[in-house]
Amino acid sequence: MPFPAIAAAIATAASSAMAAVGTVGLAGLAQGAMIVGTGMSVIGGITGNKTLTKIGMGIGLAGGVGALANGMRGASMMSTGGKGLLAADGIETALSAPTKGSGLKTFAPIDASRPLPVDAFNNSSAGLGFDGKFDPEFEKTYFQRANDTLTKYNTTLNIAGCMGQAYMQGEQMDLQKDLLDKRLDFEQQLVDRVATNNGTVLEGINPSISAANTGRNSTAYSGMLRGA
Amino acid sequence: MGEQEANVPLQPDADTGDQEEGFTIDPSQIEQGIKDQMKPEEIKNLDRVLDEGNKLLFGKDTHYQLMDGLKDSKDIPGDLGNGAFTLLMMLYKGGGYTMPPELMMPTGAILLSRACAFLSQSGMIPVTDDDYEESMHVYTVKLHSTLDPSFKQRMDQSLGQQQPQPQTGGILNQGAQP
Repeated sequence: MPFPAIAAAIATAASSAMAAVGTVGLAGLAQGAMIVGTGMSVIGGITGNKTLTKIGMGIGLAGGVGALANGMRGASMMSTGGKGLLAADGIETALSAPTKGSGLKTFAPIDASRPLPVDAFNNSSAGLGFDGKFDPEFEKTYFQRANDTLTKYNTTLNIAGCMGQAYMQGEQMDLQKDLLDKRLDFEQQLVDRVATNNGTVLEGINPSISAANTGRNSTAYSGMLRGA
Repeated sequence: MGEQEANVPLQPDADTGDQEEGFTIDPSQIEQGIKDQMKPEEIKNLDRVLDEGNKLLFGKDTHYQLMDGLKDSKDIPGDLGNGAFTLLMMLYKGGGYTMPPELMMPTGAILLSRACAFLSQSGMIPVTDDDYEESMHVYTVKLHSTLDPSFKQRMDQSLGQQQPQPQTGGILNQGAQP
């Protein structure tokens, strides 16, 4: 697929995504971020892969759940063995307060034999030098990087930062094409009409009057017609 | 899932935790870690989306285009992240705009890990864990900045910039607002 076609397809899909997500609610998107963030943090904690933990924390911030980190950590400390994530009072409070994260209630209970995601989140973040507390500096660093990313890739496809602009540009081009097509049709009709007029003999009419009033070429029709 | 099994996972460096060169992340672990946080119904939906994603990622019609594009890339993580966003939008459109929003992040994370594992194992393009992290960052930022109007507000707030007027919809959604 050529690049403009891909861009148009993405623009259409993204605009539709905007509308759909807007109507469904952004809680789903935040829920997805929480799912991935927690999953990555857990795997990162289990395997000791700090890259995964870093990804998990970043996704959490992007999904708007980074601000819940303090609440999560508190809930983790409150929870006792085998108690699920949502069983902690702190989490319920944290989830009910912001508009985002309401969908988090759909989380499955966590197996008691495995480390809690929040514990994995804590352990991994501690390993990254966060010392068990949510670090606003990390948030700032993350968003600074996000800003740089948006700036860097904005020119590539004009999707991330100015999706609407790209979409509107496409719409305007379509509109201009429609107008141009209509104008061409109109001009073609005009040419056809003049050609038709010029091919019709106007008997009994002074050619000079005819030319002045109708715009037709009085000598345009063929000699055969003249002789007829 | 057949496609999933086709991606033979690499062994993670569980012992040291040090990041070795190359791609050490196991896509199946990522997938399992994510699915552990989901309900069975969500998992079923996610599998359907992943199947379609695999068709785009590894299908005969699109795979070589993808590989050719990446082969000449000077920014592998950026192209992977942008590509994942494109892929997701195509999946979203292909599914008649019915994909639940909560599946967007998991789908991108899993498909990106599979793509990185494939690139690394095939030896075509050297990919590292850091590349995956960067591509996930690009994907996440693009997705959220496109769909979540509060993302940019939080970003501006965090960076200490002037707060824009609160929006009830996203950039593209503004037109749909009365």
